[in-house]
Amino acid sequence: MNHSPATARESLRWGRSQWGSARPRPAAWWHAGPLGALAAVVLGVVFSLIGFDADHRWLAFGVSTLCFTGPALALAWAVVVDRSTIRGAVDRPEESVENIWLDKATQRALYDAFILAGAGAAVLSLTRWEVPGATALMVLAVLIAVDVAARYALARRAG
Amino acid sequence: MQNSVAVRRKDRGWSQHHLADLLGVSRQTVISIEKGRFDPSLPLAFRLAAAFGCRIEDLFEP
Repeated sequence: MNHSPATARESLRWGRSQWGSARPRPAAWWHAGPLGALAAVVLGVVFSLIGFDADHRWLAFGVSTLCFTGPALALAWAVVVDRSTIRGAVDRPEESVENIWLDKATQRALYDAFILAGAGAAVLSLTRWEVPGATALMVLAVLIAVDVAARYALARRAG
Repeated sequence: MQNSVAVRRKDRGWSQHHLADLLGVSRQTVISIEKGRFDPSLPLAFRLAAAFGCRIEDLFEP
């Protein structure tokens, strides 16, 4: 068998960075933290410049940077981390049953999304209810996320 | 698909966690295979057979 799990000394709860030449390499957050923070600030600047007038620019920058910080940190961590150094991580997640459950959940949620979007569009057009596009898309995204989570739980229960 | 994974694992005194580590998959995967609820991929079936020192057809029966 060809897998080489990290030694206990090398593995960390949140893993080590795949960047750098030092051994053992630094914790992933040493690189992901500044990178994620920088990405959040850049996104905050862009968002405040294109979406708001000069009077509200600083407020927009603060709020949007705050909102982007979590996702940007998570994304930076996913890019930076050497997953073989995450404590307890399996070597071949793609061959694990959890991957099958997630595949099933996302496939079925896709069909549900078609039905939801179609039914929602029909209801909105019949009732002539005006809903902003951004709001409708956000609601749809949340419903799909909840649907995937529920279907994953069902697949897990079925084994 | 029926299989003799659980019997062979217990014969060797291995825990499900140990077998999962050997195969590089989650413990839940081993549980699902043993219960016959999850048919492993061909590479995983080969690794299972290698871990038990037998052929795939000795482990699984349709």
